[in-house]
Order: sequence, then structure tokens, then C-alpha cells
Amino acid sequence: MNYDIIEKLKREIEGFKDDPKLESVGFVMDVGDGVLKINGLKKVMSQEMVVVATTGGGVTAVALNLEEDSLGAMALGDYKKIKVGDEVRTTGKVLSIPVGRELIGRVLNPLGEPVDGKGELFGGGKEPAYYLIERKAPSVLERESVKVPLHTGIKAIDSMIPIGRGQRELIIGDRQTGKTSIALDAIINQAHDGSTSLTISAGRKTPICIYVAIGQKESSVAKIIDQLQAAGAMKYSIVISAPASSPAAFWYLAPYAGCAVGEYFMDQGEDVLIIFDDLSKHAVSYRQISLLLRRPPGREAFPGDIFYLHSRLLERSAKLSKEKGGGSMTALPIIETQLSDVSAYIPTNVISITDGQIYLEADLFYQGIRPAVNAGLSVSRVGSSAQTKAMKKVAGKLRLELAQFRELQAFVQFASDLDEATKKKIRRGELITEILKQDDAAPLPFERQVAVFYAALNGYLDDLQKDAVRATEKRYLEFLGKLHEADILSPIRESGDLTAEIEEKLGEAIKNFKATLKV
Amino acid sequence: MAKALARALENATPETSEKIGKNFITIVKKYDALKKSATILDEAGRIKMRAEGRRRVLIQTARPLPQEKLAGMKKLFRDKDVVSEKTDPTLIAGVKITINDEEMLDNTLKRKLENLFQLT
Repeated sequence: MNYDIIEKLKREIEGFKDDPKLESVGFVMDVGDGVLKINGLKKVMSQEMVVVATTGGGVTAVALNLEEDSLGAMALGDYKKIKVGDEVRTTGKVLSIPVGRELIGRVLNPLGEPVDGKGELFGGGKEPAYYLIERKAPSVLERESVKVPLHTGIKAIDSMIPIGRGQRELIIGDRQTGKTSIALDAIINQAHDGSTSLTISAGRKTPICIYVAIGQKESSVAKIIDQLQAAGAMKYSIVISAPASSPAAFWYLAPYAGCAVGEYFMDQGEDVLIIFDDLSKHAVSYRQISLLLRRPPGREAFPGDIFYLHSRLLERSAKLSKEKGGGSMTALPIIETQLSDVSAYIPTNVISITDGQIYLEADLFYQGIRPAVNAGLSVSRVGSSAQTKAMKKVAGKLRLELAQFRELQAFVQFASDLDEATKKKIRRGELITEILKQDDAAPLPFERQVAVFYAALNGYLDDLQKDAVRATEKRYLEFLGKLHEADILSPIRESGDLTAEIEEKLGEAIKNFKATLKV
Repeated sequence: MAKALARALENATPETSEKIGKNFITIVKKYDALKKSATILDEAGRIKMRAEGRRRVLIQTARPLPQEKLAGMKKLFRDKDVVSEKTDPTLIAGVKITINDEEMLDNTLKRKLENLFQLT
């Protein structure tokens, strides 16, 4: 045997102190599907980690149901090793996750163990800080109102449903309507939105992004990680993955673990963007655990505390006051609906908890309107106070014009019989609809969005054919990027305002650009 | 069911105990819970002993203890406590005492080694 190993063992044995004490123990009475019933353990705390001593080593479990004579626990390891009669001991530790800057760029499971094969998280014997997975949300006094924008890079969202840092905005829609794409675009866009000295002084610094995958296919998670890596977004992102093959306990814990990691950065005064993809599966996993623990089922067989499950999670997103460091955590929970039914139990719960929702519609998606955001049903309850002055100025009328267009849309087929004013409104509506279309994984920096909306809503693009809008927009942005980065785009990005002086320059630039089109 | 059985046996005479036992078997059969009867009886025994202020003590060792040592250990407990012993070679050495299946004093070499190498 290697001499070093022997020496190390000798040192360990020499320094070993043992002080046997009378400790509280329990025995497994019943085990099945990852849920244990344990006899004894009178002094166990709720959410405390307990260790089941099996013949194949210790298996950790979390105490959930504290009953008069027994305890219901959820196994976190391989529950198949556990047998009836196995000894269970308490650890005195409530479920917590190791946190630190070392987590950035890594993929973890809900227990904080790396699953990306890049080795240990905390090398060099460094002792990490531990954050409780279940933690109380910041109180009213510790909070401040949402006023700094968080740009997603998606035109339809940043203009009509603005999101502020510390807000909880639900992304809701049927399967395959682009919910995850919106979340990923928002993460990718953070690289463009902040980091310069001026934007930091305006309160916009690059947030730490946390993507929590709940019950998703391993292949989908791998694809998402690849996408983030390709866009360079893993430099400021953390992925917490509880894939479909992992036990329900992991699905249940994943959002809380992500939240605990987010809270660490928020407490350091940083901004955090956290995506929960998706909370419908989270609710399903909690239903499974609850039914196995024999808790009484309620509507749709969900347990009675299903509302509290999500409200206590989403309440942890906040904008902290200056005294608390001024950090923030913005949450974008995702809910998948069945056949566009937003009135189902879980969607209505989460709608009522969050500060607004982005509603994605399958019909719009199939009509080619992507992102398929339904502007009428989508709302942001606090974000408008966080919207930058520039965006407010240019896109203020956007929602109204779009609503008027939707009302008149039915008459489009009889366009020849309409009066000039109505025809104009329809043309403008079609133009806006085209402008709001955006490709996947191509978030547009906020200052470029302002430039596009300015041109569209001030009638500069009214003479364009519908089919030519997107190509022209692309050329227009290239034109601005090449010739007006320093005098138009950069000042808008850094000041967040569209001053009269910049507006004049932008108008001039658009005229020059249009002149190039005629050549 | 265990609670009900313990309650029924509280003030039972030897004759009534027999009747209660028969009734218990009938009920267990009725609810198709014969498989669980051992657990129910164990739990009822535990409830009854707790009500009487008695404790169930289990002394586990790796090898059988000499009678004099065992008697010495039994003296550590109250007379009304029910003390039983069991051998478990996986403990390697030392002694493990469990009281009422709730508290444990584990002074075995197995646990010391586990703690040393943090196997659990």
C-alpha cells in the first residue's frame, strides 16, 4: 500500500475521538416507492435529514410527516437498498445545499452534487457555505419595490409585458408552444444587457441565471446545456437538473434547491434570474409523494397544501432593500397547460401567486407568429414601473394598436370595402405583428428593440410590403450597428432613455437607411 | 388496532385476556391483516408497557455474553424492565443497547469504524 495512504490513515486514527452517547433512533416499518414509514425518532425535526443504515451503506432520507408514533420520510438515495427493520438515525441537520461562486457554470442535482463530470465543486479543502433548502421568504421590511428592468431580448415581452428584477412572471402555454425557448432567450440575452460601468450604475448588471429542470428528458436537458454553452451563457449560469429518471423526491426538491442557490447570490447583493421548468411536473411529483404518505387527496388528487407548495417557493423571489444589499431574484416559473385550459387547478394557483403571466397560444404558434405570445391575455402587474423610459416612450401605444388591430382582423378579408382609416389600422397591425415575430435563440438587445419600435410605430415602415418587413428589419439593424453604434445605440443602452437629441439622430438615420433601400 | 388491543388488555383478567385474544384474531382475519398481526401485537405490547412505565431493553453483542456479565448489565436497569439479549457478529466487538426501540447507546467497533471512515 502507498506509504502516504498509510500515514494518512495513521493520522486519522490517532486523532480519532469517540464519545458514544444515548441517541435517538428509529426503525423502518414500511418502505415503498421511495417513501418510508419509520417507528421511533421522537425528537426528529421537520425536514431533518435522517440516515438509514442498510447493508449496502447509509441512505439519506428527509423527514416529512411527523406523526404521533411514527414518521413519514422521503428517501433521497437508492431506496431499493432499504429493508424493513433497518436502523434510522437523525443527523441534526435540516436539508441544505452547499453554495458558493464555484457553482457558476456547473450542472448539479437537487442535493448540490455535480452531475457534469467536471470534478468536485469545492476543491482545495475549502469548506462551502450551506443554505437551507426550505427558507423563509424575505419580510416586507427587507424588500423594496421592483424598479430595475430585466430585459428578455424578446420584443413582444420587453415592449408589452416588461419584467422587473425581483418580479415573478409566469410563462404559461400548451406543450410545444415555445415556453422553454422564451426562458432560454432570457438567459442568453443577459450577456448583452448589463456589465458595462454605466449600466451597472443604472442598476443593470448581468444576473446569475439558474435553470431548474424538473422531470425533463435527459436529452432535453443536455440540449439546453449545449445551447447555453454555445451562446456563452454558461459563464453566468447554473443548471439544476432533476431529470425524468430521477426519483419524485428530486423533482420535489429541485426548485427549492435552485431557490436556495439563488438566495445565496441575492444575499451577496447580486441579481439572479431563476427559471422553474416546469412547476406542473413539480406539482405532480408532490402529489405522488403526498399520496404515498397517505395524506388526504383533494381536487385533482392534489393534497391540501398544493397552493402553499408554490406560494412559499415563489415568495422567495424578491428585490431586497439597500440595507439588505440590494440583490434581487427574478423568477420565471413555467406551467404547461392541457388543451389551453388555464382554468385548471395548478395554472390558476400559480397565476394568482405570480405578478403576471406570458400566455403562449398554440393557434398563434401554428399561424407562424413566434413567439406565440397572446398580448391580450398576457400581463405584467409590476413590470411597467421597471420599464426603461426609452421603451415606454416608443412602445407605449403598441398594446393599444395591436388590440385595435385584433378587433378589426375579422374584416381583413373584406379589406377593399373598408374606409381609409380602418385600412391604415389594419396595415399598421400587420406591420406590428410582423415586427414582433422573432427567431428562436436570437434575443435582441434592448436598444435595438427601441430602434425597431421607433421606426415601426412612427410610420417609417408603413410603405413596406408585409413579406419584406423582417428582411428590412434585419438590414436596418445591420445599418444601425455599423454606422450608429456610438451615437445612437450605445447612448440608449447606457442611459435607458431616448432623449430628443438621440430621437432626432435616429429619425435622420432611418431616413438615410430608407434612401439606401430605394437604390 | 394496536392501540385498541392495548386498551382492551389494560384491566383484563387471565380469562378475559383469552377472550380478547380470540376476538383479536377474528378481527384480524376479517380485515385480512394476518400478515400484519405480528407488527400489531408488537406495537400493542409497546403501548401497554409504556402505559405501565416499563421499558423494553435489547442488549446486542457480537458474541454471546458470559452469564455473570449479562447479569451485571441487567442490574443497570429497573426490575420491571424487560431485558433481552441478541448476538450480531456484524457488530465486531463492543455492545449496543436499545431502549424501547427509540433510544440507543452504540459502543460497538462497527460504529467506531464507520465514524472513522464516515461510511454512513
